[in-house]
Amino acid sequence: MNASIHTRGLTKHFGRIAALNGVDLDVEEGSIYALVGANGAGKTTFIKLLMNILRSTAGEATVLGIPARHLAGKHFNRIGYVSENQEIPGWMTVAAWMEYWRPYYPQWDRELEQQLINQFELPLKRRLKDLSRGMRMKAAFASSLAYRPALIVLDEPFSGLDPLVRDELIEGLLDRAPESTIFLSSHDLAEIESFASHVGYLAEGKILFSEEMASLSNRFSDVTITLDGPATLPAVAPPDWLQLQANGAVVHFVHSGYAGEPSEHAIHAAFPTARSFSFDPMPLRSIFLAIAKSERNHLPTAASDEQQRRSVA
Amino acid sequence: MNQILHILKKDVRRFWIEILISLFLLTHFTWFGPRLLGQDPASGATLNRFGIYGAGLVQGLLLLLIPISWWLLISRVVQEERLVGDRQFWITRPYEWKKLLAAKALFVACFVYIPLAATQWCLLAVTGLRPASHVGALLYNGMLLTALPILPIAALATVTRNIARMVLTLLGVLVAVSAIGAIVVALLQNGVMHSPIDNITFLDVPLMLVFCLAVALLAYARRRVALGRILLLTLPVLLMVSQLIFSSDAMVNRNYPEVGSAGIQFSLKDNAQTLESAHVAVSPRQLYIQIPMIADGIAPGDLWVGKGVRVTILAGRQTLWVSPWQGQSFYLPTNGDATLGFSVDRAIFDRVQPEPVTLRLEIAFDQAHREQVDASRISFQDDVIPELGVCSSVIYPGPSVGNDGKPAPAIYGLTCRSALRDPQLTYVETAFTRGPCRPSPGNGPSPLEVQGAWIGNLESEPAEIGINPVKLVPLAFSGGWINNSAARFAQFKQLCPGANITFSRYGLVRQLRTELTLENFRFPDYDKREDAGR
Repeated sequence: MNASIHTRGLTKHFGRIAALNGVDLDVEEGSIYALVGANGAGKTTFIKLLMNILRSTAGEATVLGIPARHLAGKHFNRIGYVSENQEIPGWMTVAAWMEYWRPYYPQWDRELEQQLINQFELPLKRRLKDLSRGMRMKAAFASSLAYRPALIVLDEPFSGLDPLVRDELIEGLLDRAPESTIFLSSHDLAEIESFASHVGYLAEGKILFSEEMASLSNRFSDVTITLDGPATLPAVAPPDWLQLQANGAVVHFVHSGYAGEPSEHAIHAAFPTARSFSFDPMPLRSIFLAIAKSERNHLPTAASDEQQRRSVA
Repeated sequence: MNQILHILKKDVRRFWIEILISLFLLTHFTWFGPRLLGQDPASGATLNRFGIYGAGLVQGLLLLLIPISWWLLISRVVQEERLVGDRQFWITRPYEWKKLLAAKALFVACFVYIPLAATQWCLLAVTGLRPASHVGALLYNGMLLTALPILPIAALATVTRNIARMVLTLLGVLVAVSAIGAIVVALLQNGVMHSPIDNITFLDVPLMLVFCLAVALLAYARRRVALGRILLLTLPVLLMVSQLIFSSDAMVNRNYPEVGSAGIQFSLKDNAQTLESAHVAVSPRQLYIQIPMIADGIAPGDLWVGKGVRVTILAGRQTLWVSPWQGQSFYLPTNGDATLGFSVDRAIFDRVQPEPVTLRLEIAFDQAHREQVDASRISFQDDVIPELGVCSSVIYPGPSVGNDGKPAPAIYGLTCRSALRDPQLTYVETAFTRGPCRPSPGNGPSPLEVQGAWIGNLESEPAEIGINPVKLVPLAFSGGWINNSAARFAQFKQLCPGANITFSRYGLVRQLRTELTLENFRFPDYDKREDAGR
C-alpha cells in the first residue's frame, strides 16, 4: 500500500533542545493513525513539520507524495488540517466562514457541507468568536471535511471537549474514513482505542513503536505469577518484560512481546516453582502507562528496537 | 485572479470601518486644502485670518492623522493573514502566496493610492495647477510615499504578530532614532561630524524600496520573518552608513568635477588678509568661521549657488588640517558678495590662529543660467506663471478708505503655489509703493522701491515627498517684512495693481568645484569670555 505520510530521520531542534530526533514513520493510505505521547513528546511539532508550518532541521518527510518542505497552495486542496489551538477569524459568522472557503476547493461538496452543518448543529449566523470551544472545533471540522480531503490531519482535536462533542466529532470523522487517511495526535487513549486502526508512540522526540492497533493489543499481556514461597527475580530479565516486580510470593510484569505459547513456555522456564500463571489482555491506556513508566525508569528499552522492526512499514 | 478578488472582498468586509475613516480624513483634507490659500474656493472671497489659521490647524492635524490611518489600515490588512507564528488559519489552506500578496497590494492600491491620487488631483485642479500636466510628478510622489512610509509599514507588519507588537516595535525604533539623533548632534557639536551637504543621499530611496520589498517577499514567499527582521534592523544602519559616506565627500567627488578655470574670481570682501570682519561663533568644541567674499567675472544671466566647501589649512607646504565637505547655501551675484562659512575644531584653531597660514578653499558650485523671463502685472486675481505655478496676491485691508467707507483692500505681498515640489529656481522682481497707489490731488506719484525674492531650487526631482501636492511658496522680498499695523500706515508699502513683475527662471548648467587660495591668512581672535559657562 502507498504511504500517505512518510518520514525518515525527521529531526527538529529549537536551539539546543531536540523536539524531534530522527523520526521514521509511515502512515498507510486509508488508515486511521493515532500518534500518542506525553505532553512535550513532540507530537505537535511533528504535525507542524508535516504541514510545512515549521521547517525541519534534518531528515525528510513526504505528505501525499509531496515533500513536506514544498507543501503549499494547491497541495492543501487535498489536505484537511484542524488543530486545537489554531487561530480562526473570530469576526466571521459560521456561514461566512464556510462560504469563504468554498471557492478555494474545486471539489467542495455543498451537500456534504449542509450535512455537516446539520450533523454538528452549527449556528450559521453566530460569529466564530462567540462560539464555545466545542462549537468552534466543529466549525473547523466542517470546513475541513466538506471538500473530501484525501488526508485529514488533526492535532489534539478532542482536547478539552466534553464527551458529547467528542462523540459527534468522531462520528463525523468516521463518516469520512472510507475516503480519507486520518492522522491525529491525541492524549485521549480511550477514544483512540475505539476507532484508530494504527497507533504510534512518541516519547522525547522518538517513535518508540508504530503498529496496527490489533497487533499492539495482542503482543502486550499483563502477567501475574504466583509462587509457593518468596519470589526471586531472575538476574537478567528479558528486555520485553516491563515493570518486573516481586511482592511476596507474587511476581508481576507486563510482557511487551507476548506471542502466546512460546512466551508462556519461556515464563514457565524462568519460574519453574510457580504455582499459577495468568496472562491478561491490556487496555491501550495500561499499555501506554507501562511503556511510559518503563521509559521514565530507564527500564528495558531494547524492546523498542524489536518493536520498531515490527512497526508498520 | 479569483483568489485575489476573493481575499480582497473578505478584507473589505473586515475593514470597512478603517477604510471609511481613512477616506473621511482624505476627503476633509481635500476640502480644507484650498482654504489654506486664503481664499474660499467656492466664492473666491478672501478668508479672514481665523479662517486661514483654523484651516491650517485642521490641515496639520489631518496630515498627521492620514498616515496614522494608513498605518492602521495597512498593518491590519497585512496581519489579517498573519505571517508570524504557526497557528494561523490560512497557512494550511490553498492560499497561493503570490495571490495573497497581490490581494494585499490591491487593497492598498484601492484604499490608499487611488484615494490619495484622487485627492491630489482634486487639490491641484482646485488650486489652478492643472493636474494633467503633472502626472509624472504625481507618480514620482507616489513612489516616494511607497519608499516612506507605505512599504516600511507593510514590511514591518509582515514581521510583527499584531498591532500591539508593531506599536512596541515602532516605539523601539523611535527610541533608537532619538538616541542616534542625540549621538549625531553630539558628534556635530564636538566637531567629529560636520553638517552634510545633502540630508538624503541618492541611495536612501532605493535602499528603502529594495529592503522593504525583500522583507515582504521573504515573508510571503517563504515566511522567513526572522530573516526579514534582521534585514529591517540592518536598514537604518545602512542608511546611516550611506549618509556618512555619500552625503558629502563622495557626493561632491561624484557630482562636482574640479575645473581649472571656473570663469569667476573670488576675493575677500575687505581685500585684506587679516579678517577683521570675519565673525567667529563659539560652540563647545567648535568654532564657526564666516568669511565675506566678493565674486567677479560672473557672466550676465549667470547664477552661482554655493553648495559646499572644503577647507585646507597649510603652514608653508605642511598641511595642518583638512576639513570634510561642509554644506553651504549662498547665491552669487546677489548683492555682489557672499558669506562662506565653515566650522573648525577649536584645538586646530588655537594651534593655527597665532600665525598667518595659507587657506585653501575648495568650493562646490551649482552654475545656473537664466533661461526665461516672464513678465506680468500685479493684480487682485491669480496669475498663472509658466513652469512655476500660480501666484496670488496677499490681500488685507489697506490705509485707504473705499467708497463704502471701509478700508480698501491692499496687496502687501505675493504667495505662489507650485505642484508637488518647490518651483525651479526663480528670481521674482517687482516694485513696491510707499504710499497710496492712486496719487491724490496735490501729491505726486508715490516713490517706488524695487525688491526681489528668490524662490525654488535647482533640484531635478519631479516631486518631493508628501501628501499635499500643493507647495505654498511665500515670497520673502529683499525689503523684509512689511509692517502694516494701523499706527504705521504712513510707512505702508504695497504692491499696486498694474505694477510690473518679472519672474526670471534659472536652469542648472553644470556642477563644478573651484579653488581659492588665500596666502598669509590670519584667523581673527575670538573673545574667550564667550566660553564662560560652557
